[in-house]
Amino acid sequence: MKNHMNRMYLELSVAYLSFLAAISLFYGAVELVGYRIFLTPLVLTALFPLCFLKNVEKKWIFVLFTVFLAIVDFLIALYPVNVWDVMGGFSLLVASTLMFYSVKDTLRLLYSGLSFYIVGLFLLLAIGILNIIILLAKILDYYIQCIGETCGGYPLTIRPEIFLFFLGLFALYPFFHRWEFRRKME
Amino acid sequence: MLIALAGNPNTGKSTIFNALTGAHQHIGNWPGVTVEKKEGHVEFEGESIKIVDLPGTYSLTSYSLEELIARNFIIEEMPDVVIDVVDATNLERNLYLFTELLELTGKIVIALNMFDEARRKYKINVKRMREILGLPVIPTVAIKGHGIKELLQESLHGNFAPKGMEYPDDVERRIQKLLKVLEKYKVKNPRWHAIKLIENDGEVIKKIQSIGARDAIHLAEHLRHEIEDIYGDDIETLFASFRYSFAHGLFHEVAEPINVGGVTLTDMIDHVVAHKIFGIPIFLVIMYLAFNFVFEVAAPFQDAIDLIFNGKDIAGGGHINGLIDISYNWMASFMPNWLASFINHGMLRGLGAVLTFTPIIMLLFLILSVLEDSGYLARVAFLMDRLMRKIGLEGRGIISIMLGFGCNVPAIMSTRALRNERERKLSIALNPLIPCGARIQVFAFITSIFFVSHKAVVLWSLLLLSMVVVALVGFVYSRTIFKGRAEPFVMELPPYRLPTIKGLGVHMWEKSEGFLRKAGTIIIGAAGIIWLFAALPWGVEYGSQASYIGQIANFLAPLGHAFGLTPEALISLFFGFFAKEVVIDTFTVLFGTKSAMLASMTALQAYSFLVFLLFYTPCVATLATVYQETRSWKFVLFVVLEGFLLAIFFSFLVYQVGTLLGVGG
Amino acid sequence: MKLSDLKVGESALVTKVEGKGAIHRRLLSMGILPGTVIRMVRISPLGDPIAYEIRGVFISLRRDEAKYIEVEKIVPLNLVPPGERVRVILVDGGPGFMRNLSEMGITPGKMVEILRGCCPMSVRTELGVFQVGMGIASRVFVR
Repeated sequence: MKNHMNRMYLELSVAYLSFLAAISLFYGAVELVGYRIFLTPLVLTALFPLCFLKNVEKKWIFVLFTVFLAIVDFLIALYPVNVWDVMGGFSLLVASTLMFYSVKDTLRLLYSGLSFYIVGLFLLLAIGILNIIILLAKILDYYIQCIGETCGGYPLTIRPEIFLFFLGLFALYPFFHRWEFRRKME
Repeated sequence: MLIALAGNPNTGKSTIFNALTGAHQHIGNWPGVTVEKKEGHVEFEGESIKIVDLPGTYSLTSYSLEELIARNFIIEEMPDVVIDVVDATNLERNLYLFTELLELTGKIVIALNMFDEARRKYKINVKRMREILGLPVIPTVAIKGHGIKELLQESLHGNFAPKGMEYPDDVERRIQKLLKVLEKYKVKNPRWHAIKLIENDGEVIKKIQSIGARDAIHLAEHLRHEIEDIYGDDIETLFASFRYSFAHGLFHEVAEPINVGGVTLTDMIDHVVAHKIFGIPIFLVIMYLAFNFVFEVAAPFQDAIDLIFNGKDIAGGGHINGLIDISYNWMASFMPNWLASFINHGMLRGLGAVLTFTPIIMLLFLILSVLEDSGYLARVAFLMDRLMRKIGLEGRGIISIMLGFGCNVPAIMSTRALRNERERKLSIALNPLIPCGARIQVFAFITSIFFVSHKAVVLWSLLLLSMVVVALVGFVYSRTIFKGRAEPFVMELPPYRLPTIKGLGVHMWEKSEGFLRKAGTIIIGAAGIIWLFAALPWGVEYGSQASYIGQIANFLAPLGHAFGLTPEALISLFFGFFAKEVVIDTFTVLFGTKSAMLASMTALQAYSFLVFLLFYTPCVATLATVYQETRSWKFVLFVVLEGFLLAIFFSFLVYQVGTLLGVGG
Repeated sequence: MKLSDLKVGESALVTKVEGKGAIHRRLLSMGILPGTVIRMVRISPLGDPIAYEIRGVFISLRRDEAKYIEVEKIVPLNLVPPGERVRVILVDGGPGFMRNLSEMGITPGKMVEILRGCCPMSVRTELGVFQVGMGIASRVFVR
């Protein structure tokens, strides 16, 4: 019984990871090209793990959860964000690709899958935390520049990396939980 | 009392050094070379102890500078105790150096560092190790400060009864034979010399030759051939095997592996980070993140320092006085105006410039330390080695080049990571050719005025030009001036570790302090000299055509004409020597308005000016750092000349070809 | 064969370290000696250098340097497919470990036959049939 539960958590984590990957892919693309229109369908990549359904045990729960997350992704993507930052977008795309790449092997309980899971997620979190620090620095800079002048409050715009960071924190869950992974035999 | 710290690279030796000495340390170079030397002091139980950190080495042969420095120090300075810092997670390889140290001195304290991490890998029987070796063995966790006091205690009161390592009988007999001959000549540490003579160590043979012990050398040669014949391999392989089999035996005697096999986190991370397809994109992302972080986070601190020193003009009129204004007003009340101006507008402004540098430098060092301490730097070298080898550097050379885009000062300081003297000098010589953040700022400023519609193209063309020149110059240098014998690039890929805040803080402070103290004084001095040129003869407007600098610019104007440089451009280049971003201020002061700037130069002249700015002499801070790292004014001069020649060549080319083609009229 | 000819994941036994001067000494002092087991771990994305595992440590060598090292290919016991008969070349461990294995008849020079691959692995030696853990099997090298 316990084993089944673990297996299910793993599958749900993978679904959640591709949810994260899909939304990172979307924002990566947005930042890369500088506009949002026509890019929303990219969030449908959250359905990607359904390609590996044969490696999944609890098929129905998995499908429902994945579809549900894809819808959440879609809703999030409706919120207007306009950032144009080529390298920032590229970073998100790389993190997103790593996470997508991990899906197949993680479901097959192979170490190479978990490797991409860890590094992809870590990269996403690192991007997020650096952007949070940068935002704080920008606010500080704004008020330093303001000394002696009259100026209003800081025109706060939250970059998508920042809430991706908070969404990413939930994907850390598997590290508090241990699964038996086997080494890929060459 | 004198203690020397020896050990492999990456064993936490410098962390132990820091934990032992605290703030009482002095960082310099070993005489005549660019290898870093760290010394420190500690008072322990009423004893004053001097601690010297030897370069990290894998062995003590005469083939590398670091190894020679380490062993000559032990032979000549005869430290009372050598602390051998051993990476307990990697005992076998680390004990190899120990066997070499053991032949030099019997007073060794072994620090089993990273003991906490090692305990997850093996069960280590410290007591047994102590018994076998007859020497103090202390488990330490340097980053947490565990075991540091015990190291000092054992150094002072420890029981040193080294059992030594045994060679096979037929080798030992021959060593004894040579020993008898050597004893006649009263060399210090005859056993070590005997072994090294048999081992065919070039430096030792030279030394023994110089004391005229011909017979010892002949005998050693004879014995060497005998041993090679008995074992059927070359002498170096044989001696390495003897030592390794001792290390191997000792290791298996005291350590019992737990949990063999299984995939480690390091394996998993490397699987992705050094991946065929993803490896390089991940590297680019990490570099981008690091730079973005450094510049964005440094900005508020730089602005704050700038505000404190220079004050600011308020948009609606009025002026907030900075430190310089306040201090000038105060000094002018009791001393001649020119002196007050010299002190404040010259020197104090120089100090301000040094301080505005520091946030960027500290943050770049923070990033560098994170990369280094986490173990990613070694992977960068692994990824980039093939690329960098083309310009005569090893993989780690890419780090100083990338940092160069931020600021050349920390970039040049980071060349310390290169273990090879030749490659270090080469990368120091290349670095000033990389446009630092300040130069890129100037490019952005000028292009936004002269090339409104082709801003990005112009900027990228300059970056591309600098990359091409760096590659070409590197290619040429590594085959001409900086040619040397190829050094082996055998690099360890250490396990990934989470950097500790304390470790990062120490690194960051250590390096920034060095910059502030040494480079800082040079910069402030140079700021004073620049002021003299710009403000004299007394009474002229600062930096105007009538000042000395203006006169020089006018004098050079005909020459500058060949490159399309106007006198104003020459003046601003002169100020750019002080700090590149000052070029912007100078332009603003000299012209006042955008239209005046546009009227003064054609687009072609502006482009030629930018090309000149890209290469001509690095700023004072960079030169001060070059001096600090190489201790050679000749090298500093070389860097300046190299820059000027490239600048003259390329801007001449651009201007003349451009004029011929009739570009930018 | 040369060390540089190994493929990813393959292991080998060093038979000779050639070269002169600094490179020779450096290889030796990193523990690359005749009789050492070395495993090719991964290749840099640009094709050079190559990472090897030696004595539990990962070391990166350029191809030019790896060429100095003469090796013979060996396979850890755990990667041998069932049904094959192989000769033990080397047992990598301390005296206790070697003693335990020699009690099962696994010593250098002896032949063993793999009966079942995983898990646990079972092998037939001169002394009978034994079960061997994967961790142990990965430290027994055969050809």
